[in-house]
Amino acid sequence: MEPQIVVNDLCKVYRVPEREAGLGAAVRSLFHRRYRDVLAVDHITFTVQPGEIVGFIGPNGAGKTTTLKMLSGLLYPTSGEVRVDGFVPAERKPAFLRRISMVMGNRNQLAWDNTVSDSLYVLGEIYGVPRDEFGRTRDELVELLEIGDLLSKMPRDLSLGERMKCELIAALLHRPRVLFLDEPTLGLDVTMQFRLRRFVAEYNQRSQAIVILTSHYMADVVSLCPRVVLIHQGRLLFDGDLARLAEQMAPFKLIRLAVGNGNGQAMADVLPGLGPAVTLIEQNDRRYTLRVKREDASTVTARLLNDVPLADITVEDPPIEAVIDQVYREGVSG
Amino acid sequence: MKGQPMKMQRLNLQRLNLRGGWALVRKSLFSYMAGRGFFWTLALGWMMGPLVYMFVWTTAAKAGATGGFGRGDFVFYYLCLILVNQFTYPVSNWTVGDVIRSGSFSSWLLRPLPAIYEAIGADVAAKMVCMPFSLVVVAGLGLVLRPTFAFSWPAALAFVLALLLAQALRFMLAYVLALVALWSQRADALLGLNDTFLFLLGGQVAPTALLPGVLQKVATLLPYRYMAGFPIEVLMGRLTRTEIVAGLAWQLGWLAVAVLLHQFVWRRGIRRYAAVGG
Repeated sequence: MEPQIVVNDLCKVYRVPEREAGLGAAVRSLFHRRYRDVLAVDHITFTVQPGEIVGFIGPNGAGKTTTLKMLSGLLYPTSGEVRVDGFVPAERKPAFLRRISMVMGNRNQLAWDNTVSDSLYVLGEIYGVPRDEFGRTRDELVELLEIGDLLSKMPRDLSLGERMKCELIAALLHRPRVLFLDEPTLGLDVTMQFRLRRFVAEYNQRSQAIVILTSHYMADVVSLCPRVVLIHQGRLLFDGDLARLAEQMAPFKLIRLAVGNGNGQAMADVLPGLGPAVTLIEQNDRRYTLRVKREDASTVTARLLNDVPLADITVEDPPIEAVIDQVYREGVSG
Repeated sequence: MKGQPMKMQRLNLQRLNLRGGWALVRKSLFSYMAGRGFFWTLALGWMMGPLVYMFVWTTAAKAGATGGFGRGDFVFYYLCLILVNQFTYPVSNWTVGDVIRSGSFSSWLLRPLPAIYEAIGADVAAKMVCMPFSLVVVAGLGLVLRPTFAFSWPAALAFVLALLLAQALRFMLAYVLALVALWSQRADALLGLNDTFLFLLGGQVAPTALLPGVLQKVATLLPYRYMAGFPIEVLMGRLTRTEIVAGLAWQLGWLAVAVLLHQFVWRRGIRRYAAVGG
């Protein structure tokens, strides 16, 4: 199958003014301005197939949003190639813009002083949605997100979660083939996050639209994105499924165990003998969490089962947040 | 092949996206009507300048006609200026720079219609909200202050043409200046300078016919006279046919310059746009 999005050797360099702190430096910068080149996206290459949901993850300033902006045509790449649905995004052809949609935390599609209903109507007109289709799509989306009672309100009077639901509907009215979501659940409560995730998944299944999502909430990524692209300092560090990310990025497992009553000393005796490959990372009364090299996990587990009277033991991959945190702090290991 | 021109026409219309453009006018209209009190106050504020100059000049004219303008002429000139100024004032361009600086310009860029439509839509809507209010105020002032004028259809028709060109020219020039924010993030100072030139040379502080020699010459060459004062001079019947044709030609010429400048600034500027803050 032909990929719908092709990104090849993509780079973006920002030229940012800089100066030292203080009044003197401020005055000097009036006459002599200094600039620094910042490589925000560094030779990134990937493709996306129709219907895929891809999560872009990475720490703040990693280059995720810059990449999204180049994919949506908001930014001109410094070098490299981007094609989305056969279009070069930076040309911003109307036919291309009708096929995409972007939801950003601070970008408001809805007019502040128009009712939600009026705003949706205006967007339908801008995107040239046929009138009968507009009514059908709007009603369907309103029902899916249960916002019927918000239609007659002004966005300025809505809560953050309510507004985000309306923004999503505004973004989907013209049934985009590619949907860019930049931190869509930022600042939302858990229930609202859950509902938005469910909605995005349903939209993807129904329309087979590509969804590219950036989020700092790993729950968004875990529940929505079978595939993740990890970007760090502008470079693509990983592209694949989430489970493989843990394997590749975190070459360790967690052993959680509880010792039987009165066997704390046995555990204390065994622990030093497990070697440097095992680290005690948490102890709470009789419960222990050990970090073990992936290849040593079975040996260490067997030794614990033999030498310590255990009440419970589990071996698991570290939480994805911990893996990501490790990558952010230490870079890619192994 | 027969269907080709029709298809081309449809494609061009789709590219123009007039349906979307009209929707933007409606959007702004809804917003302005929600805060109509603010806009009427704004319209009242815009009237204050011309009213003050009118009272200054009518007081001066009590001693006798000044440069061919009697008291009633000044009243007529400045009452017209109130309306012409409101009709040509590019209300949206002050916000274009802010929109660029804050990054919400991205919303404009992601829509399948030219970004200038947002500014045009906001401008058209502002005029639809403010003009009826201004017309009522000006009509009331006219009844009280008794302007003198001689109406003629040819002058009125030429006035309409000159007014439309003045509006297009004033809007385009201010929009181009606002787009400078794509480079510098701040366009307010340039827009302020533009307004100052308009105040001095556009027939606001005084009709251009009353400006001292060199300034009058400069005013004839620069675009500002053609954005405000010129249409009123046409309506008052103070210009010969040759002067009217020359004035319209200046308007078209400056408009062409502004459009070309827009193309240049847009193409360069949009590459520089950093889409700050999402």
